[in-house]
Amino acid sequence: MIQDLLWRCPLCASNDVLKHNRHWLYPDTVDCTACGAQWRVRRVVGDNYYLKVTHAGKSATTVQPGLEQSITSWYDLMKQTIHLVDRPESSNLLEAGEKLYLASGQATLWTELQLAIPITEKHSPAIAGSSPLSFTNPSVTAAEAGLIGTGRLFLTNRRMIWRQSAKGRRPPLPVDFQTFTFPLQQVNGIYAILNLGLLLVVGMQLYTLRFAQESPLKWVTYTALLAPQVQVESGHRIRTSHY
Amino acid sequence: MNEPLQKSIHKHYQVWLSSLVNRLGGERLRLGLARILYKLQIEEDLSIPAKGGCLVAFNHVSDAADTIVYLVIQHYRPDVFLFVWNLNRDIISSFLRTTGLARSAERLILTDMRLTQNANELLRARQVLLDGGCVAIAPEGETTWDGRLQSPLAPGAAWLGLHTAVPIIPIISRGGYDVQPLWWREKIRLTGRIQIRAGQPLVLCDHPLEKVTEFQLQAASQRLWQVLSELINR
Repeated sequence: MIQDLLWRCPLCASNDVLKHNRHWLYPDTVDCTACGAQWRVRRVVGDNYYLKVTHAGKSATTVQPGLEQSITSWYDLMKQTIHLVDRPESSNLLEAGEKLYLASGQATLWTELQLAIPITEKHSPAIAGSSPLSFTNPSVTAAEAGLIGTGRLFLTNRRMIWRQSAKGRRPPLPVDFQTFTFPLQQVNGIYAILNLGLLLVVGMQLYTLRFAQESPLKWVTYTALLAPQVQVESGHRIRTSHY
Repeated sequence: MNEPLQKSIHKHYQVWLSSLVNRLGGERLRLGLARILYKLQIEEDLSIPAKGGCLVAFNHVSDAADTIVYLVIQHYRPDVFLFVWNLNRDIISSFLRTTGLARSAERLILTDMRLTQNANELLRARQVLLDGGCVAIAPEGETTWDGRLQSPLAPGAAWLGLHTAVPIIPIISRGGYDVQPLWWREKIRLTGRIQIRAGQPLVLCDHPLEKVTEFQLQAASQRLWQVLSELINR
């Protein structure tokens, strides 16, 4: 849906606030739950989708109702509003000097069925804690070996962190396995798997994240903005999908 | 209706529909349907050599448009191999069903997101080209989010072009974005207007190069991007 592309309101610059409403008898609409703006969606066959502002909401000072642009132009406008801004985090997640840029809602973490570096549950939690490559979940059955669990994903200026949440259909992981840390200097690539999820290449290991609500494009965009900073600091290059 | 049930119904419907199309007419019926539903126009000078090594590079717009482009290429070159990311087993098998390729999966060259793991498949594609075969590749690497040609291109097409010196046939589709944009991939519109056109063959070098520098790769990719871009805006 449109919120997969426009994951941020191009008018009020709030993340994850657009909602695409489908209608059978009249044109689809898009609402911003933050500023109250509303667009009408029009498809031009053989060309593109066009969004026309029908209500400007609190963004009336920046845009007038009636303005119609292609979704590509709205996307360009949205991209102009994106900056890396650290957000407050009350938990004990961050280390000293670390800045949090993004925190997801519910996200399931998956790994490959065939691990590049097979590690069994006999390995000590200390090893498992030191590297995401050396993880196995003892409670995982063979049939669902790829699924690690449900939790939240965080992006900081140094790491991507996935932390298991109490909710979810899987039993809680042992304490040592409840947090996965992917230092950005070990992340080789972050790609959107179409609009389905996010693929992380950490060392030689592949991880997949599927979000309940969010667009993988948002995570690709933020990581791509962060990648030059990582390259300057460490010389390590993170490849990302186009955004 | 809940989402998993909806997806399951959609998947079974897709399997049923593609097996029906296979029984009724296969490739000819698929292209016929594309002509009716999407007013498919193929430019007359679309010239994919019937013999000899060639690399066909096409833009990555949507599953629906890419499938039609692939069917057109296959019409000219039934021996075509497809160079594709190994993203997800479900997606690949869905593509195979839609294109009727389910029984010829060996014609897929599946590459990995772990770039260093791709040597075998790249060498396989190179050998196909050197042996006079045809390989189709979407050099952007991934489907476009906003409908535009993405830049920079992934290095695969340029690498193959420089290591084999075969002609690269640039092919673009226009009008496929609104049929199934990536952000609304679940919904394929059954109407549209898709045009397919090809440019002049592009030869990156006179003879296959043994070693290719990063600079040569980037320059060749940029050249290919330029050709595709001009073709889209023509």
